[in-house]
Amino acid sequence: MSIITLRNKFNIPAFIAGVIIIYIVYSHDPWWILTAVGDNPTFYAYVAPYMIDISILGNPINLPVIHYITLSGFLTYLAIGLACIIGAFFPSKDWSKSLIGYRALIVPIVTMITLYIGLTFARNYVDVNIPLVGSKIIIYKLHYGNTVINTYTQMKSIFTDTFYLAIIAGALASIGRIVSGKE
Amino acid sequence: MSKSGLIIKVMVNIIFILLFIGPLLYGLMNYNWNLNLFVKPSYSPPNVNFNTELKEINFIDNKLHILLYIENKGDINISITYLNASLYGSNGKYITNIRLEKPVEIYSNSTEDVDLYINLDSNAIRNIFESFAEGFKKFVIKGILGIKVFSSKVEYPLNMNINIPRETFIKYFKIGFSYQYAAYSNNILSLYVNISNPSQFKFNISGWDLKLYTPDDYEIGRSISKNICSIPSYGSSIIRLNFTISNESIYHLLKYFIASNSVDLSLKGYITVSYYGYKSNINISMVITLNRSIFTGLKK
Repeated sequence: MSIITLRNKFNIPAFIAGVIIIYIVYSHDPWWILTAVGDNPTFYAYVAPYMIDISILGNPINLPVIHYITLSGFLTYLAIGLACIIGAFFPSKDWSKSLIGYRALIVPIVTMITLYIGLTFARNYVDVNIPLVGSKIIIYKLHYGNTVINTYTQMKSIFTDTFYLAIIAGALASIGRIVSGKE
Repeated sequence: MSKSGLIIKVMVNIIFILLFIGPLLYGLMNYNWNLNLFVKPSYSPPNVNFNTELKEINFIDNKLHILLYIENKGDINISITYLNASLYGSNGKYITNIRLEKPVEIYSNSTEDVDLYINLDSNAIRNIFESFAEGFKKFVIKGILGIKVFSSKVEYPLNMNINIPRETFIKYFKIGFSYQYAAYSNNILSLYVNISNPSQFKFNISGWDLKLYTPDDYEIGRSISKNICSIPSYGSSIIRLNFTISNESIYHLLKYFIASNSVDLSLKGYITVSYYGYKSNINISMVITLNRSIFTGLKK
């Protein structure tokens, strides 16, 4: 324990977690991407706690709540990173635990659960079956006059490297929390 | 935990709660605490609107060429990528497949011509002629037009009536007529005309109604027949056209022979050809040069 906290002088895992989190916020990269396969995608959704960007047929979907949710996500995740870095400099203090916390790990887990709930909602209410990870052809029927037009869109969804980086940061922050506050 | 530690812990938690909830409360305040307005998505989908119209039908190299005119009145570019369609008679009888010559991209607010081809093999020709023979004028293109819109594949059901002009269709077979020679005996003038068939489809001559005129448009005879003869594919046959020449007509002809050894007569009228039960009249207008020598038997 004392090795990774440099004899209770510096919490290395918490510091690294904080730096990674700041980098993730700065990069503004999505954590989860859902996109139609092809050069000019019919649909795409880029999702992260600090950004949600959805577009269908080249036009964006605007939802006021999204703007404020992503602002909230941005500020919270940035604060988590900064708190980790600050907490890293006071490993022996009992209050450093509250700065480092498990929040860095909770954010990616909550993001994943929220996505799963959102996709389940889409499957049940909009009848569009999109996998959380993987590829699928979405068939959609459009009614045009008296005719029914079938549309086929191959969709692909992935968790990005940034998401896995956030998991690593969360794991490091958790380790940092465990080792902090031990006099 | 020390008192100061506890205060810091509480402060940190309050800060995180404020950072998390604050923007949402601020947003709700901006929308006058109207939750419906706050979560109401706004999206203006692009206009997707296009028309398909038949522009023309013609024949190119043993193929029936159908030119479609597609107008993209929508906001987004579309690509016609494939066609899975067939030609049907108006009685619903399958005739043949149709293929798209090449993919076509149609930009927003523009129009493009789309070339469709029908290979005229023997079955297709037979089916088209049989439809003609049954009295059907219209044909129907039915199938699926594959369109690419962004990265999505759209299957647009195609159901379009087309009119294949019968006479144009017959002309496609390029039946050739050429005068060979003439003979005269007992007031019957016989003209031998070669009918050539450069196509792979045999047809029948099932009659004709032709008149022979002198250069001054005097009708010197008429040939009507309902005889049937067959013209083989890539072959030819000679038909004999018999004209009964009255004495008055002979007198009229002789006037020309006094001045010259030959006279150019006009052969006008139609020949009825029959493909797979469908009959069509082909108009004939050709010049026949008659030599005085064929009338050597005439009494002076």
